[in-house]
Amino acid sequence: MREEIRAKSFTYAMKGKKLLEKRGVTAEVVKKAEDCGCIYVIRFTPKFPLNETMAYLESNGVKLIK
Amino acid sequence: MIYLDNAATTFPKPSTVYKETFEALTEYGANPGRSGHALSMKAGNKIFDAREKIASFFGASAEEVCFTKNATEALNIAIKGSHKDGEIIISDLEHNSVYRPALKSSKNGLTLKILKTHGTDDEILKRFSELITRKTKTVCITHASNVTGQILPVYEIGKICKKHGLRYIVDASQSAGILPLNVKDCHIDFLCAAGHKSLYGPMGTGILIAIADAEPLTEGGTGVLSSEKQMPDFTPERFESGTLNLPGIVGLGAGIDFIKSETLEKTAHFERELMSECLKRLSKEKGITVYSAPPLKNVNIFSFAVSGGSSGEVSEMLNVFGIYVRSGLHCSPLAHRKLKTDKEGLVRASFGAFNTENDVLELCRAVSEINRYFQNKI
Repeated sequence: MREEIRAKSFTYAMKGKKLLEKRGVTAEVVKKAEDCGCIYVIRFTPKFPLNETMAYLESNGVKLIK
Repeated sequence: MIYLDNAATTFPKPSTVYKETFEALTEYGANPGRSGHALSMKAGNKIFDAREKIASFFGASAEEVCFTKNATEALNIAIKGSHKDGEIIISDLEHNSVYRPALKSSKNGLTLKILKTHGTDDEILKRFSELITRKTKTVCITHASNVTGQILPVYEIGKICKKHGLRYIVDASQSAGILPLNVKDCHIDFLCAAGHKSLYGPMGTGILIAIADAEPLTEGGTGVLSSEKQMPDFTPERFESGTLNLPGIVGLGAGIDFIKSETLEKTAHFERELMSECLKRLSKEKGITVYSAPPLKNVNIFSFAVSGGSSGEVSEMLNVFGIYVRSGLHCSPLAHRKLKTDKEGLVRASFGAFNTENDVLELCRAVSEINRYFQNKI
């Protein structure tokens, strides 16, 4: 089971990926086409609850699309 | 060949810069941040790596590092994208990349004030504080002059800017890679630098570290949120419309690695040693006037004049000796006006990490010979 978090940009997605990896989470950055145009998502194997993971990323300066 | 024009662009570059630049072009030359395929993602990752290296070097976050084509573009974004009214203070050492956009902004409602930079740091800071009024909104100061190498007290100026709530832009084109600089410690809102000078990246690379917001200079594709009519409100995309210079940026990352491996202080010290030796020898010669700050208040640059010869004539003669320097006004008419050298200009020599003591000896020998030629003519 893999989860996805939508980041505002490639830079934020990469920043988020690295932060997750520091917590021992396996993650990758993937580009996806959506209605608003292309976005980057952080795809990862969850280790912590999704809400907690998103809060962790945002508190470390990663801008996300909710 | 002796290359002493490192203030224009450093040459040669470290071999790793050539290698990384070449590999970017030949092995993963896809458009970074546009497509989702593996090669584009690899290119994007390489850009991100360079962004992180630069961020760590200047005490910023990766997303605050925006790539531009040169320092001029970065300065134009910072100056023109900032306040449209009130007062802007610049120094009398500024390059045209600051002076011209500030001057243009002054025709559109901004009042331009010029800080005189003679005397001690304390005197400069006192003069700076006296220039500030309730209307002052922006300050744009060079960290080091591209004519004399003089270093300005950017840290102390930053403290004053913070106290008065002023937007603070620093032009680190001649200091980045030579002097340590931390954007947060210096309270800098916009740090602008060339990537191809003492950061040893390829030409076509510039850096804008944007801590504050400004209006973008250009609008266009950013690879994300394409259906929105406005440019993104977040960096780096806000200031990075269009395809990025992948090979240049990757090369710049290798340049930063080079400086770190050589250590900033060691390289700067070596370049200063060479310059001090040069100044010591040339200052003794009658007919030669040297324009430089004392070694510890200076980066790797100094200028000089030979009595009886124009800067163009002297540099042409040095060219015959196989010594490459730059003559004229160095795109800094304000600095030359201050030095009263705005008619003939000066000859500028600037050192890099690959210069040697022999280069100094050869320069001094050649300048002495040229000096004798002109003194005999007088």
